Amino acid sequence: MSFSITRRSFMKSAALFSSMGLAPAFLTRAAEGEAPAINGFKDDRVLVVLQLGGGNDGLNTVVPYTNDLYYRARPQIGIKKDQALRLTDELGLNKNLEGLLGLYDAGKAAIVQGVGYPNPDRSHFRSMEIWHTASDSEQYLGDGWIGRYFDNCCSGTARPQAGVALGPERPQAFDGAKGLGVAFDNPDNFGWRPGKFTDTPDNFAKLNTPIAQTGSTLDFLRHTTSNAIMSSAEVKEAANRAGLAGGAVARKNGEAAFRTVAGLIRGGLQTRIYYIAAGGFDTHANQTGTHDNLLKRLGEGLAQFQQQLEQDGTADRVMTMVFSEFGRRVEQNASGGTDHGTAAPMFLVGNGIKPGIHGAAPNLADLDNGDLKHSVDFRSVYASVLQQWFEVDPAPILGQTFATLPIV
Amino acid sequence: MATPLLEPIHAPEWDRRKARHLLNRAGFGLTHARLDRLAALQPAAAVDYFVDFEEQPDAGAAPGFLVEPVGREEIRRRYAAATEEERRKALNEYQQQERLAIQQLKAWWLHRMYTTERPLQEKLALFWHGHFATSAQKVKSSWHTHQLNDVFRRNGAGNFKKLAIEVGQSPSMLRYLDNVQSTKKHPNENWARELMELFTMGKGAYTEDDIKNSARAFTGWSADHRQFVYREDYHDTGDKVFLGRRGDFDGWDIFDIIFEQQAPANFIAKKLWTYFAYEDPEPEIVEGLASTLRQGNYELRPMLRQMFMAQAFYSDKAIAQQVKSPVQTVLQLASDLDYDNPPFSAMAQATQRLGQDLFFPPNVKGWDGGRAWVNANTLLVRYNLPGYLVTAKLKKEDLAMMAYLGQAGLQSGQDSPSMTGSAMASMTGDANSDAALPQWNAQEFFASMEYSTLNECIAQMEDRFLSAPLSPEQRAVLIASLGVEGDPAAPVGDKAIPQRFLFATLHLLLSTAEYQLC
Repeated sequence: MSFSITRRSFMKSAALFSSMGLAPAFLTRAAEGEAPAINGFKDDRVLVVLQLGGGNDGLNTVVPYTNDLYYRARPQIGIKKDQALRLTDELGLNKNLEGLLGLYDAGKAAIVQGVGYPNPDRSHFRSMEIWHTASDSEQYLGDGWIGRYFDNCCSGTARPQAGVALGPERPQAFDGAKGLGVAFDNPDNFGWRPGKFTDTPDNFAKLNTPIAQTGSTLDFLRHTTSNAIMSSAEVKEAANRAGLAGGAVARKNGEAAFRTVAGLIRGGLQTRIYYIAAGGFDTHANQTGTHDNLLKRLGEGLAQFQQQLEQDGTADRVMTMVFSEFGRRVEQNASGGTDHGTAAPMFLVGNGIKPGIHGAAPNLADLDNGDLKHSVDFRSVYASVLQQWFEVDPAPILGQTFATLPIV
Repeated sequence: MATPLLEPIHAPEWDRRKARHLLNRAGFGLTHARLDRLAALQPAAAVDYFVDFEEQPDAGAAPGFLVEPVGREEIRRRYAAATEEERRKALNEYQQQERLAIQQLKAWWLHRMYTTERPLQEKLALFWHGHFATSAQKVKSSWHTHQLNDVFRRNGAGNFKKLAIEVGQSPSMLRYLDNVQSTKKHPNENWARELMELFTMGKGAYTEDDIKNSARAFTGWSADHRQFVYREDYHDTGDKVFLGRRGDFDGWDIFDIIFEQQAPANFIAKKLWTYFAYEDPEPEIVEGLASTLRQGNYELRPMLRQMFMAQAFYSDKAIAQQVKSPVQTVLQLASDLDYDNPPFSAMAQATQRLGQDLFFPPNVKGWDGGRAWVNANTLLVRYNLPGYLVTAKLKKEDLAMMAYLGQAGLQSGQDSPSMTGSAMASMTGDANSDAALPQWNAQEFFASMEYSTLNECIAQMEDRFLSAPLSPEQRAVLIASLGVEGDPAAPVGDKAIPQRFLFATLHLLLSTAEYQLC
């Protein structure tokens, strides 16, 4: 990441020149577009989390195409050897992931295999909650891992939009004592529309002034309102700077959300973590066509996003992390689908990534009741991102110490 | 079992505030005429009005726009001679009809909620829709979606066990949780798991093995294109061990064993109290309600009556402490503004933007409700809802909202509509587009207000629209926004408050955190 440090010091000197009125025009333009560090955080790095809701079928995503056990368990829905995009002598990507393969070949993607956690829970909700709160399987934590990162590692200058979720729902991962993190589907609609007489933004804000922390529902509503007022103004400014016109509406499966995220980064929104939730991966029946389409959109989405970031000159400071709440059962079911399973691969994408394949491939000869045993705890991946990308100590955030992987 | 929290409320304690609370919670806050009637009754009679809803007239006919399901044989017969292109066209048309029908079904339901003389029946149907959640996204049939909706309407205050079985045999649920394809060789655990985790007992009351064994018991519970079908050849007749019992169980046996446990009564009592009264109820409330359920073999009505009569239901912990659901928000707004026939399709779009898309819950867990309705985004949509009206700067995505408020709106600065109602209705695809676009008669409303001072003007608005009181500071902001100089306690006399300032002030009043509470 030495390049980005150089670039940052370049920006700093440009800003200095600019304040002295000495900077050449092209330097001030470059410096105005981006802040040297995100408000409340120590640098300008961004993490984009992409959630594949429903339980992505890991074995048909990263395919063990030389393994007879795989084809025996999946006579109909297994990905044929000639349909897999070769990664290694044993592993291939689903043919619909050409976009991801391109990133991998360019040294901008890493695959972490066999990610899961001990005593896996096969309920969507519970397992998603475990991923969001970074808890043990039997442990119930109220706050999310991102919320705890904000609580531990950002200063008071962080904006409410330190976390931005594209979509209608604020993910549980954002929950934390500081209450940072907003959710919206479209920057255009994110704000209160005043009238032309006394229904002014000022009066609106006065009526909704936060009251003392009582924990009441009204108090909660007032605080949320005050956060919304502040951040909606800033989101709109960033969207305008980036030239994000209407139509940047986030859709469930991500393409438009990616476009919006790239724009907001380009526009200099003071956001450390973006969160995109895609869905539809719960492929219990006739999964092949559905899963193919989902993966195609995933691969193309990631590739186009990276391309846009590079075009915008922001690619060096963005990392994308892709996960699902669980993988699926090794054996296909009678409906041409797969039921809820356990371990699955994660993906990390970005210029700063140490490319390659991490973790051990799931062992199909050593199953636990028909399910894969995980080789990497998902919190090891979180710990690695926190330690190597955000350069903070992951232990207080995750509550335990996890082995890290060399991902940056 | 006697806890003071569940003691029935006494007649002398009954007042307008409590009547309004009952109206908000056991129904959708409709209407002000009904509030006057309820406040004048004894509390027991007011509660009976809601709970014994079958004594009130039914709200009307089943929808006529549903797409009737067609079996595979019939499809094969119909299109035997058709070309590939004809088939594709027919499929497209069919899918389009289904999409339209499901949108119409949302409007149909909102209309029913708005006009029914049986508010609790619809409020319960909404509860059960979130509890036994299925999504039309997967079920893909307006017919089956309505069928399950009707199960909730018919059994919502009846017997919980009977309701659960009817749900389990509805094609909607059988498809949504994949039991249609569950076979002896490959039992599908989706339904079996959620039946226990989300529908009847909650996590901790069973093991993974109980799920596997009950999934085997439910093999054979399936559906054809129209209805529940028991497929004997799918059924696993082997021995199963379930919740400590052993036998050749089938689906019916599993229901019997589940409802012999303690867990279902406590589980559903807690969830119902959370929905109607408040979150995290005291253990003695849950135990008291659960014991009523058990004594009545899971009949819901006695428990509902006990709940709506309970002292705790009318405590400060309950009144005006709940975040309105999106459905409640749009229905209450329309009735607060006295709409006779609001544009229900546009209202359905509004609930979607607020996070409650009817017939499309986010997952099998339904909607979390409570504070989860609110984040910076949905809160701003809530605040904006009353403010949308016909303005010069039309945006396509605003049309639904504007249509919702009809030709008159609350955002000040525009005296006359710039678009006709029918033009808006056609652009938003409103189901009521043939009818004249309903509108809120602002002139009439403001003329009906009786006040002699600015203070009284605000007090009247507050009483009409809010369940939670405003602070003196907030009242001062609103008084100032009336745009009339002078002592707010002094008679305004001939100085009429200009209507544009009344609009602006009401716009502000409805853009408060207090208005989000019921």
